[in-house]
Amino acid sequence: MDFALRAEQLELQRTVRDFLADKAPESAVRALMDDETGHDPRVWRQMATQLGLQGLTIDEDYGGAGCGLQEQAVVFEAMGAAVFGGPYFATVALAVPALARAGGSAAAEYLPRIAQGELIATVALEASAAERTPDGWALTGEAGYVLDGHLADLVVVPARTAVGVSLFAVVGDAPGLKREPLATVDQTRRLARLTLDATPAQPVGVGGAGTEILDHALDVAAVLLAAEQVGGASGCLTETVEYAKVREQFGRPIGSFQAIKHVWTDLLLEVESARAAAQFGAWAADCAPAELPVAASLAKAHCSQAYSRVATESIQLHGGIGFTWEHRAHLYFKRAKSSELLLGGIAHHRERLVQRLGL
Amino acid sequence: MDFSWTAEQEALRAEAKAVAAAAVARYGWVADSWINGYCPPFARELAQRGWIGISWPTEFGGAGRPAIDRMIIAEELIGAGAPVGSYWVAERQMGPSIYTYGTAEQQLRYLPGILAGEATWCIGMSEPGAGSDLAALRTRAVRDGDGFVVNGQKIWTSFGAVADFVYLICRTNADGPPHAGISELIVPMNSPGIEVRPIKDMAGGAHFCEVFFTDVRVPASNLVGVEGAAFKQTMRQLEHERGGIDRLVSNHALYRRALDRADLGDALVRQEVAEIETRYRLGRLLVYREACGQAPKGFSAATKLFCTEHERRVADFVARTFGSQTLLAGDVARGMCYANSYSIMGGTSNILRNIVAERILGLPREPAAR
Ligand SMILES: Cc1cc2nc3c(=O)[nH]c(=O)nc-3n(C[C@H](O)[C@H](O)[C@H](O)COP(=O)(O)OP(=O)(O)OC[C@H]3O[C@@H](n4cnc5c(N)ncnc54)[C@H](O)[C@@H]3O)c2cc1C
Repeated sequence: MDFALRAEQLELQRTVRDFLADKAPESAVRALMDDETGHDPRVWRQMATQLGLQGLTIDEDYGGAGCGLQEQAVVFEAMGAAVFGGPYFATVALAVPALARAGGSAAAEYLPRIAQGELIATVALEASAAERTPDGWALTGEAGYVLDGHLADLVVVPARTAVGVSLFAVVGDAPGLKREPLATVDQTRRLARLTLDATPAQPVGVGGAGTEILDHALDVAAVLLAAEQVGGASGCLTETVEYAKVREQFGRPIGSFQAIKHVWTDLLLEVESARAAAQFGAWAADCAPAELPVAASLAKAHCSQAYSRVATESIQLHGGIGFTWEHRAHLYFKRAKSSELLLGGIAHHRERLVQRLGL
Repeated sequence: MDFSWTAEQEALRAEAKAVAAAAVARYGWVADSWINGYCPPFARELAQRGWIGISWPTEFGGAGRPAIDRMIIAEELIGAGAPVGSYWVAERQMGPSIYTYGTAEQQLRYLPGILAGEATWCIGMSEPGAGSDLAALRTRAVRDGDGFVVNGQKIWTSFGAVADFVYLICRTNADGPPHAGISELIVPMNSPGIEVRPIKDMAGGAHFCEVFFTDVRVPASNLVGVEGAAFKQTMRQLEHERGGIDRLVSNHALYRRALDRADLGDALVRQEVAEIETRYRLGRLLVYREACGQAPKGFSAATKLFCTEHERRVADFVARTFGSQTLLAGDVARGMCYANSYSIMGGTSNILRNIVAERILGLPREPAAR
């Protein structure tokens, strides 16, 4: 049992925090909220070339750093605190685990390009229908709520085949692929609706293995999202508590009122326990894979609840100023809500947890 | 970060499970067994295994094993309802206080009895007028020759009726600010002038007592640490009390029985079980972090708060799960009643919230009373 980050992990944490402070201050986050794509290609390239962030968990054979999920979680925690947006989550938390698990030629073709920062990727979670064609495969179907689907150079799409659900790779400019960006309440987290009409696709992994691969990728994504939620919740808590120390009413700092102290102590417990949940999940993914399914659903449910509570109470603590567009509180709130509902909500993951415990 | 157990720890847990099962077969199980399971023969058995004081330093007779090993044993014993009460308080906090602050003579004199599972200790902190505000305590110890003369009253003293010693927090100086002038004394419970009156608790038990001190003579050699400067020692002791797994698993044995009966086909029940299982697992991690010495300073108040709020939720779940059976006197009803104490003893939840808010979050103190 050891609860400390290792020296390299602390170093990574420092590096990523510094990078984000420089490239993604609140002003930059807000600028991207107004941007049509929500994505800054320059920062994306710097992330890849200066820090190697896209390839962090990608095998060294494919040009990545071969790190574990624990390192990846450190990065997401820092990004969560900065409410950093763009297609990093879709690419690294969803597509990379799916491609890596699938292996084979698709992994060999796409993972090196992701590591280079040349490719934005995502995963569609609704299945299309696959059909064999003289040149390969073609997919027809629809997928709503695809994370960064409007930007992706590569979409991993599950589709029904004769041998069960299989995964396919669809390139962003494939014929018959229609991508509609959706207006999202969390402008730092973009979604698109994809329509596929006999769109050419390349198999990813073994035919029929789609469900198993996606289940695993979704567990990994849940753990990484949990880490991001912890970062957001923790940042929001720290900022809010600082405000409680300086804002005065009735001749004393509002943070000296018990109604405030007690709520924020309870929230601190939610955040600290959420951190334990996310850290355990990342550790399980790296070191105890049999425990990952339970740990992932546990972390996703608990961290979702923690972040949403903290972000909601933060607005309350700030009073009127907290309800303004100008104040940062709503960035946390919207990210908390979009994260809570992404990849299955709290009730969904609690139910999965109980199932996975064999109850 | 490493959440794995060593092979040794896995073996220890398996052994503790077996010992707990055997104890339950022999002595019966009881919920809240660290406070309601008084059973000296079982304490002696554990002592023979070297499990009492397993994490104490070897120079004081312990096994010098990591604190987390003690948590593994405690989790299995208390989680199964094995009766560990007779040595619990002494092993958890009196021993550590004595080996940290006591004299060599005190260490020689008092630690072996604890390690042998022979001695039961109680803690004399709370008074009728000093509960949450411990520093307001008034029980006085006045220097008289080579000793002290103690007068005053303690209340809610768990194990007061069966204890061999009371670890007394008292005032040796009434001038100056309330936190100053507090001292710790070891007082044999058979000292002339001590009167114990058990108090019946709301669950029908009587493990806690009023303890009256009338001109009780205590040798000066029984003073632990520095005269008049013990408040810090007392707070340190409370860290031992608050950071442990006993405050997470008090009613785990009841929970397991409830889970066997719960309607797991009901979606609402499943949601609730998920939440309980989640908090149990996360509470364990917080406790283990305390045991590894990796929690932020002062965090034990937060750990206790998280864990006892979990226990209260469990009690509520157990009571509802057993339905009308909960109406009848018995384990379940007692568990439901007893749960009210979790968030009172060892510092009330609201007091812990004050502590965490001020010490961990750094929020401003309450303005002082005028
Ligand atoms: C089962 C059990 C076993 C115990 N065993 C022992 C023992 O072995 N030895 C021992 O010394 N003591 C023991 N205690 C006593 C326990 O530590 C005290 O009961 C506890 O500290 C609360 O003190 P009090 O009862 O005087 O309540 P009070 O301090 O009078 O508190 C009453 C209420 O006021 C609230 N309150 C008080 N001050 C504040 C504040 N500043 N802010 C917000 N709320 C506040 C409290 O939270 C509580 O809800 C035991 C208690 C129980 C129930």
